[in-house]
This record gives sequence, structure tokens and C-alpha cells, in this order.
Amino acid sequence: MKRDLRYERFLKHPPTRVWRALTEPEALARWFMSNDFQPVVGHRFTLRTDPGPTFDGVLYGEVTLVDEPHRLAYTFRGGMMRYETLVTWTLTPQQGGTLLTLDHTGFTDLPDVIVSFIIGSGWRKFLAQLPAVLDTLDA
Amino acid sequence: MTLKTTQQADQDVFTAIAHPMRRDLLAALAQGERSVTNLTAPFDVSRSAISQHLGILRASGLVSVRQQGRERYYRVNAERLSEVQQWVNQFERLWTQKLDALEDYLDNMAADDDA
Repeated sequence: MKRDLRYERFLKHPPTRVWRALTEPEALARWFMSNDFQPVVGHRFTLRTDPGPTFDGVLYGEVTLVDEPHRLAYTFRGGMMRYETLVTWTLTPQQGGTLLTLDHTGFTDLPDVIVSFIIGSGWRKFLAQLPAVLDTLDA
Repeated sequence: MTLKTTQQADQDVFTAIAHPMRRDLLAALAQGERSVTNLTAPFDVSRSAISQHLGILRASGLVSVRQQGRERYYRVNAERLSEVQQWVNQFERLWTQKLDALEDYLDNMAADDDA
């Protein structure tokens, strides 16, 4: 199971502009999701997007860190899940723009032995074989 | 974010795996089907406590059980675990898509400012 997700993008825009895009509700609605976000620690907000087969389209968050224009963090969870993850945006000024880092963390570890069952491109094939394999193992 | 299969698991999968004892039980079951007696042996915990944890894992759809004589045998539902991985993958797709959208948004904003 992937534990943390990390993305980095170099954006040809100054950190102040990137910060606005990350924190202003109207901006967020344009590129992210419809929302009632405010960059205030403790603020609770809702994000709404298209539902999927296993997703009702609603996400909940609470702002935990506002360090303009360097870092922004909030908790992030799906509606019916009591389990929270953490989203942290880090803005690093660089020549000609901003290095934007997104960390999405807090996914609970699964035991490595199970991770080895799932990770990798061959897992579908493995899953098809798994029941037969388990049947042959000694109890 | 609900993870519901056609079986409609009642227990949230992530809460189920959040407990270290339940993760240990899943690790033990990854080797193959085990009886409750066999699962209880290595832990300094009562059988009823183990049963309670197994019940939560079952309600989440991560394990299933069969009865044989007086023993109950548990095994991992690999399909359910793959759903957990798929949920993480959904976020991966989401972020990749949204970061592209952020870049487009910023570029358009800059173009408007320059115009």
C-alpha cells in the first residue's frame, strides 16, 4: 500500500500568485473543486466534485497550517470515512517561478507481507491465482 | 469516500486497518487461512479480544470466515485489499488531474494580466 503521495511541479508563476490559487475560494472552484474554503487555521470546509463508482463526490477538511506564502496544510477525508489524511502544499521560490510540492500523507500502512500481494502491475493476475494458492497452504 | 462492494460492507475499511492488532492479524492471515485458535496463540491477548478484532475485519469485508467442526477459519479477501489500493490510486489520478488544471488556471490568469 502506498503510504504517502508526493507531487512536485515547477510553475512559471510567483509564489504569491500560486498561493492565491491555493487559498481563494473562487480560484479553487476554477481548477480544484467547488468549496467553502478559507485560509484560516481551524476552518472546516467541504469540497464537492463529480461522484464516482466508489465515491460520493464530497470531501471534508480542516485547515491546520497557514504560513503565507510558504506552506498550507489541511486534513482531508471522504464523507463516510472517519479516517483522515493530510494535504500539505509547500511553495519554494525558484528562478523564474515556484516549486510547488504537494504531500498527501496519512494512509495507514498495511503489513509489508500484504503489500507484496497488492503492489505491482501483476496484482490482477495474482489475485486470480490467490484463492487456489491459499487452498494449497497448510492451515 | 465510501468503499462499498456489492456485499455492502458496513465497517469502514480504513478504520478496520487503523488498529495495529488488526494489521498484525491481517499479516498472519496473509500466509493463508488460519483458525482462531492458531491466530490467538502468538498474542498476549484474550481469545475474545482477538474474536472482536476479527469481527471488525469481517464487517469491513477484509476477511471471511468458515466454520469447520468447532473451529472457525479466517482468510483474507484479497479483492477487498485491492479496493483499498484502488482508493489510493483514485487520489493519485485526482491530484495529477488537478495539478494540470492548476497550471492551466495560472497560465490563463497570467495571460489575462498581460493582455
